[in-house]
Amino acid sequence: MTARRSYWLNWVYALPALIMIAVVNVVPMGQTFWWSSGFGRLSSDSRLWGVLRNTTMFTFFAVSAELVLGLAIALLLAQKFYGRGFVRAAVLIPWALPTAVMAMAWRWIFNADYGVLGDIFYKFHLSSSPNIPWLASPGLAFFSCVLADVWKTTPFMAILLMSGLAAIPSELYEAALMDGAGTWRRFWMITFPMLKPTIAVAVIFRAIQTFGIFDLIWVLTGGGPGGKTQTIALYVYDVVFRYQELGYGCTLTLVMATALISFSTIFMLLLRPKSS
Amino acid sequence: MAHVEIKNINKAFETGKSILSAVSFTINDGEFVSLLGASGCGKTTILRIIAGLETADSGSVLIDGQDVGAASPKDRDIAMVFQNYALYPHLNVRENISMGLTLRKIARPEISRRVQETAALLGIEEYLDRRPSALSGGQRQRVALARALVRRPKVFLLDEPLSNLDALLRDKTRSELKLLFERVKGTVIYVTHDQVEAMTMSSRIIVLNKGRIEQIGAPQEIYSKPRTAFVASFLGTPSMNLFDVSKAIQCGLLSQTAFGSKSALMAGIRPEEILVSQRRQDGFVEVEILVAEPTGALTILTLKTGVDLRAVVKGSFNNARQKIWISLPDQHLHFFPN
Repeated sequence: MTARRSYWLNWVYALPALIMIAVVNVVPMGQTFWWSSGFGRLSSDSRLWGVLRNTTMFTFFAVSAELVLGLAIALLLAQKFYGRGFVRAAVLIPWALPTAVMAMAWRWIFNADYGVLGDIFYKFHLSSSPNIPWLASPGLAFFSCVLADVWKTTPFMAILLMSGLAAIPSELYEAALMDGAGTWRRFWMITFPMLKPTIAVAVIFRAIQTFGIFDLIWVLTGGGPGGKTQTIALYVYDVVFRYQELGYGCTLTLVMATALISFSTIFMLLLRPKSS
Repeated sequence: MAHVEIKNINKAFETGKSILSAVSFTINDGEFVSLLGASGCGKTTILRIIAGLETADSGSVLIDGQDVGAASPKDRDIAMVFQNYALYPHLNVRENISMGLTLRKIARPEISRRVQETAALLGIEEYLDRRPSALSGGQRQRVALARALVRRPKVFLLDEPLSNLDALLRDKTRSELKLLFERVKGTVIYVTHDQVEAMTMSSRIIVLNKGRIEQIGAPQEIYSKPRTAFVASFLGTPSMNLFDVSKAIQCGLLSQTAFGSKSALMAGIRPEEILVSQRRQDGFVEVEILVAEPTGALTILTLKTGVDLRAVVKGSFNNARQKIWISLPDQHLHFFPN
């Protein structure tokens, strides 16, 4: 077969997949641009800024907590101990659950009348009553949502970081042992700098996903109370399906995409490996 | 500088397979000793046990008469050069070299003086501010050496430090290393699978096979008086010819009258000790040449006899008839239990 013929054949083979991508990705993207309207409303939309702040705060708190917890879990599971395989599998369970299902479970846990979390707080004398309105109180609802999200996605972070840890040569730690470096020093001298690229990828990945969060909050609070947990994806849903304003909804989607692209760019630049 | 004593060390994998059995040896102050053996013979494990990176199942390690079994690696006053150098990639060369001193709370002026001195000794002063990733393999190797030397430890442990260098650089560095450790009068334990490194650099060699010590001795002694067939075949290129005495008698290479009593043994002779003649001579046996491999200074001849035999002759070898006469001199024959 000539090189030229095989070149065309490759395209033919790829065609079904390309058509699929075009139909489900490229066409909707083009339509979003085509249909978007009401850019002038962006500056005067008082809800938009609250929604953007909610989304950014949610992303910041959730991803920070996931990073710290995920790193701790990854470091723990990188040690050798009896039953490590079982623990590694067990840690993954929250991530493997469908979000809607685990969100329903958290709604029970958070329930003000019969939820277990309030009961635990009450039994440990952290609260005078077991009836804590986790999802109904404007002050608590936001952090309740963050907690549920952290619970679900920390395992994913831990797995990504574990793969990064596994790539660090053990000789480095041994050299540090001979040099007399303690645990803390070994972490800052070897683990952290060598893990930085993995952390960057994990954080960007998680931040993009969290910024677009919908299902978990939809099930837990629906965006309430009083819009305190409304993120941009929920707002877009409201605009398009409740108020039937497709054009403005498309515009908001573009705002969301712009925010994500600029965040990723800034973060990549910040964590870019320094050339020596 | 120090005296290291290894007493009856045993170690096995969790599966029960033995890694080291009954390993004992003593290294004197200022000695350069090689642990020589094929991969998987346990030589690196011995080094790691001395360093404290692994623990033995039984037995003890004494440094200057003190049992260091319970001491952590940093408290043993030992420095190690790792096979892949293990330089901290995010620190520059200066920080890499000085880390061991910094962590031991040595005064700053003293550190910078010693780093400068060691860098000068190894010729790496110009690279002090570079990261390891900006260095060549040979330069990294020197930084790894500097990191060990700067500490002035009691014992230096070197784990195949030359194996990642290309052949030309390896030859050059070999002699430099020998000079270097002579100059600092270091006690060195050097792990290698390369018999040339062991032969040329060490004051004594410990030959290991499957977790056991086969022989301990000076290089020349190990070469000329191998105690076992393994040692005999492991040292020397091409390696020593080993064959059954009975077979050699059958094909006339050895005489029945002189060696009949040894017919149950295995005999060995180094290829360079075989006498080769182009003409028929008394006491010589006629043999056919299967292959002649010229290497420049020497030619290696693979001979067709009743036993596998290789001989080495000087220079190039022209023999159109493919026939020579050989003799195995008695004084160069070694005998091992079969």
